[in-house]
Amino acid sequence: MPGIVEVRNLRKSYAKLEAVKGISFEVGYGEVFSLLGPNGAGKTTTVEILEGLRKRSSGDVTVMGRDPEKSMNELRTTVGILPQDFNFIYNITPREALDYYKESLGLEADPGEVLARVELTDSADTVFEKLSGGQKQKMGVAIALLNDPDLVFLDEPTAGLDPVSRRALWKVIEDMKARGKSIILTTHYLDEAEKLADHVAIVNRGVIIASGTPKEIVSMHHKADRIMLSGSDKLQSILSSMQIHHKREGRYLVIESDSIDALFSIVERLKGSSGDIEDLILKRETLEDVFVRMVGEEAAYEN
Amino acid sequence: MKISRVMSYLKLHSKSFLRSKSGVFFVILLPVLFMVIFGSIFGSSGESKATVAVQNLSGTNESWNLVKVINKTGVFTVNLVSPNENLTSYMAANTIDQGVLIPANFSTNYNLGVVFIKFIYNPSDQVSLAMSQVLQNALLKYYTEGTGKTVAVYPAALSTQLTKPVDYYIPGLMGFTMLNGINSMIYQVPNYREKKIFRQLSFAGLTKPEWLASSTIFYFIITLVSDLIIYLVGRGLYGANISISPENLLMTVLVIFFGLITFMSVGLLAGLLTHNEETASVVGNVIFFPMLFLSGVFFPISLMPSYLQTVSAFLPLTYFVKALNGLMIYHNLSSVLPSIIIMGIASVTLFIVSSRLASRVDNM
Repeated sequence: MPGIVEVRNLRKSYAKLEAVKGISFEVGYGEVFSLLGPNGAGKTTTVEILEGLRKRSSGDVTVMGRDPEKSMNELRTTVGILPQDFNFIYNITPREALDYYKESLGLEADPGEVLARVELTDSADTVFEKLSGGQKQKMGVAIALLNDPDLVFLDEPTAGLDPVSRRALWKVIEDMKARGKSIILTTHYLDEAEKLADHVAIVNRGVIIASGTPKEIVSMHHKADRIMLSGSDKLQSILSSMQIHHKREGRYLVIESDSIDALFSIVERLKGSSGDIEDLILKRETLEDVFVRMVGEEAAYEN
Repeated sequence: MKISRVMSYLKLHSKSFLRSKSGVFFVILLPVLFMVIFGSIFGSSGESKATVAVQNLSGTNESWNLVKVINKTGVFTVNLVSPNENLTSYMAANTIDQGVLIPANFSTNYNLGVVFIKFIYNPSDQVSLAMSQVLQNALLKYYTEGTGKTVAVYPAALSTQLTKPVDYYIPGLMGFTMLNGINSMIYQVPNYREKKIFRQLSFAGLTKPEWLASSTIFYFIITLVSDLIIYLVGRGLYGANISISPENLLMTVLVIFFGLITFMSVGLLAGLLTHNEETASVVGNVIFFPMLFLSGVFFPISLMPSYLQTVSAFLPLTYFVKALNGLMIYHNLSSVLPSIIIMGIASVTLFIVSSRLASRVDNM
């Protein structure tokens, strides 16, 4: 069965700059697919091509079996879009905005129900400029969900939000996922992708440098888990005396190993020195660690 | 183009506009405020002296004494008119509401004991008629009580209506409301582009032509409302001698429509060529103020030096104000047809240029 979104060898150039250099991926039905990458990696360009907002230079793209460049008008009733930096007319309320989309698209939806789903009922009659950052994003999500879409594009939905607002939006996304919606999530928050996405593609400089489930990516590109220790001045000599290889990173002494069991046995050996230890952090490598290393290595290689 | 989308956006934009205090102030209240200010200054009410045009056809000592008496009342400022001129034409040309005609046989009749002088008043100005009574009382006191002679005033209405300065301000202020078309676009377009609101509206299927159609309908309605208020305030409060005849009504609405399209297109062009609100504000003022002061909105073009008159000939607002002056004050359609044709050509040309540019702009 073909995916809800299929991208084959997508390229996009702006004058002499090639922003997307032959990207291919597929998004399955009911899947949360996340495009990760640093600023300027080509994520938003890719998503805007899928949303029918930009023309591609070459390659094949289908969204729900249609070419978005030619059929976006038909797709509008089955696709929801939260663009990057969502904005609206400053003195219009969320309820009025939803009424506008309902009327314009000829939808049967109940704006009140959608506003309740994104937990925006209390601010439904507050004008846009007076909403908080999180509430503005929720309004954008509500607009994206009004047509009960099968596919939702969320382009950096939590950018610039405080932790509480971020988590509130995660809840909304998880709810959408539970309802079986397919979601394309663009973000540069790795924890967000790790928590929400079924599949991830890391984009850097216009190409996909890794893809798979977050777990697959971490295990494929895994280098080392680590123990981070801080404490008394004696701690460094204790580690040296035990012949435990370590390095200093700020106030922490860091012990790395590609085997988590080896790290557990080191913790066991350190039991006798617990009086000299203030902090002991056992940290498995995360998607963020892999991402930073991969993107950093690419940059170092380029340089 | 889908009418339902045009109407949906029209509704949304109307809500946004009516909530915008500055929008309502500039489009509705400011022109009315100007009307009140100019009406108060140039309308016929107030406590200052009334100017009276006096034509002495007698030229005798008795008749010149009468002129002195009129001057001494403290109510009138006498403006002497040469016996060779036509008094009513002089009044019309100089927008003087009151005139006194001292007949050639003034002295003969005066010596006989009773003499009549003609007081010409502007029938559209109630104060003007009341002035005849003021003069009669003054003459009664001076002559009848002082000399035993009777100098009686018989009022006569001016057959042709006089224009007053306030009359000219009504088409001028209607021209001022046209400039809202420029402002609406010049601020909205860069703002919507910068904040990507056009993109967001396009998710509702709204196309550029639909947005433009909706905005035009909105500003056409709001401008008609604003102009109607100016018209009613001008006539009702300040007795402006203007009217729109039924046969000129359609033409007046057409001129307003041409004006709006012209100025919205100018605003759209400027909005598309500027990239942020700050630059747009500068560009807006550069277009707005010269046009405001050089197109006959506040000052007659005939008072300007010739080089400024040349500049004003290139401003579309000049032709708009001229066209409305002709339709509302002189009721002479044929004399303003060239201005209306120029407005029509300007509106179509500018609309084509601006909408083509809009269709090419990426983030709109």
